[in-house]
Amino acid sequence: MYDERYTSRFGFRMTPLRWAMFAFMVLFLAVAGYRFVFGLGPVTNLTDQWTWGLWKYLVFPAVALAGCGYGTVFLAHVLHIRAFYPIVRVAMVVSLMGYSVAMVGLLFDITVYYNFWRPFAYWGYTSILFEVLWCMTLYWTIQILEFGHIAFERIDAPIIYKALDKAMPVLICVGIMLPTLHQASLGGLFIATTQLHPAWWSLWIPWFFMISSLMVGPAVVAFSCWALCRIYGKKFEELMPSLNPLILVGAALMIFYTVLKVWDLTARGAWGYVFEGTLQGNMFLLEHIVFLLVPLVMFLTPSIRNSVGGLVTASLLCGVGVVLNRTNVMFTGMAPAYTHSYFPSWMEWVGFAGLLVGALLVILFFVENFKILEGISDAEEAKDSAVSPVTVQG
Amino acid sequence: MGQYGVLVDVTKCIGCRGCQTACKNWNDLPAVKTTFTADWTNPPEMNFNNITLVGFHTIEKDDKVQWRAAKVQCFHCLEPTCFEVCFVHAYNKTPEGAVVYANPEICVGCRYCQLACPFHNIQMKWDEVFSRVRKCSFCYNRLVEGLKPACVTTCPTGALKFGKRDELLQEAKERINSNPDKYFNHIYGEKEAGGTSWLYISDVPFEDLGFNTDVFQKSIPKYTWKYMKKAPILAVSLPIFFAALYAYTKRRAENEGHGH
Repeated sequence: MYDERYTSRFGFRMTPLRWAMFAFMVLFLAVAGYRFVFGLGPVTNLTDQWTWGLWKYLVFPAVALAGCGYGTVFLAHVLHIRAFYPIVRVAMVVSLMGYSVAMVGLLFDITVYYNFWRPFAYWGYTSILFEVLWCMTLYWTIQILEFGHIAFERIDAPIIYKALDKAMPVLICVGIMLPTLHQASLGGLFIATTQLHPAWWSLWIPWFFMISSLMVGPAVVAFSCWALCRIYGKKFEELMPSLNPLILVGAALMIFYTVLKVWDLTARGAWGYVFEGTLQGNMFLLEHIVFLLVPLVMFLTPSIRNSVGGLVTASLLCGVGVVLNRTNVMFTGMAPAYTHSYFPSWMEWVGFAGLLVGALLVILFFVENFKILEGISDAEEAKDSAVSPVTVQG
Repeated sequence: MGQYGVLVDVTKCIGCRGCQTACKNWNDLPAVKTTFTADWTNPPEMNFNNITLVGFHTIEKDDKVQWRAAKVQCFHCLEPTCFEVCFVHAYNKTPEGAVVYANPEICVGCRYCQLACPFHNIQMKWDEVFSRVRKCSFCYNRLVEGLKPACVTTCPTGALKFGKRDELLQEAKERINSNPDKYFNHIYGEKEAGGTSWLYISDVPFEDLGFNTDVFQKSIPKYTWKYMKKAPILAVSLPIFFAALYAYTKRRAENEGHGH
């Protein structure tokens, strides 16, 4: 519903850091232009062995961290738990930008980019990538529409807002199925890559990817809320009553994930690979002890969970753990199968960082101009008590 | 019609690289500048213009240092992973057993086929703007005309033998059984990745020839398909489940709302 409290024009506060970020985006656009004119060969350090490099990699952690969207939306909008209303919009916006980074990153990475639409016309239904692409594209569209529902509170177009409002229940229900499927399928992609180190290669890898994307969600929400509160001078403590139960949901999922991992390693008899003392084994231990068990214990300790410093630190560790997991699956775990080494070129790094910086700028713009940090608007909350919406013009 | 295959007897290969040249001739591939390396493998690695390569390997056998040469190209899996993981059907699996990158015009360039190939035998033309992959096609355009692949036709020593795969597999077993002292008891390609059309026998272990003996011994597409076929069921059932939860909890929230 259009909210008359928005009176000022759209704006974006410029700080020296933001000027620097924009300057970097100019460099990014130059690299992007170079890449689309000359192709991947001159721009990247990819080889026939390391054929998936930094840009393809970007999709995996970005989408995993964007898992904060569907989990929180499920709790707030499907289960209608009021405690999560104040934070659900932050989760949605961070998730939307995570997917945007992934989708644009994919366009950067495919060599025949004018053929990007082909999978939708030539159904390669046997490929897990086919499912990933369909679900990611549809979910991205749905997230944009869901964000539209927020944006049109401010932009006065009652017809569009009402249409979106009507569609929201459908968008939400379909919009949770899609990431459930493709988070798993992103892991499923690595069923086919049997060269992956046995510490990670498992037929259960789809479920590991799905559960880890869900369990990292609360941590991403907590960290994002904290960062945004700091930037915009809001009281983070006010969000703690929402974040506390959310973090416990995440911790429960982390326990489930840990149990599944132990079960999987035992069933496959793969413990030997974990303790083999190689880079792969050690990275596996680092990932699962420092960045899974440590934050889990921190989340479960009330005194740490209830302190801002403890909550944010544990969230950061948990987030790094999931990013490290994707890094290990794509790079560390693949390395033994290849004779070449791979380190991204500077242009790959600029593309990688540019997409992230761009997403960050958009998040800041959204938060400054729409009601994100405020949580679900009063109007929407009132509507939950079956009050019919009233459109205010002006 | 049975699938075709090629039996490579490494003991008969003299490393003349005739197959490499024949492949280039038939497929019209340009020469590439090579670099000097410590062995005779030339060029040092497979690339977009060298989709078959004779690898040279120094081996210590019977207290002597010996050379062995083994030609490598796409092994043409019976259940090819590249074909399975392509999300636009750029690959074809022909009834003759050839796995062909048949529709490059619809290829997106995602390179999942390269990543998923259990033998890393798909090459990319990296120096092109809209780069695509290339792989051995089993000379499919020759097969349909009743000709053998170019490399087999050229091989002067009979190290490459073309025929029906099941017959070749039988012959490989006979060769090993009739000469167990000479041959190493392993037919590479019988079980690797669920079986390949190209079969290799050798008098030295295959890891000494640079072959990946750690390769998955079962058909990979069986596992990916087992996963994929669940997707439609979940795609329909999950939204219905979520919608039911949505309606139920919304009613409850509304009732609570009226309560106070």
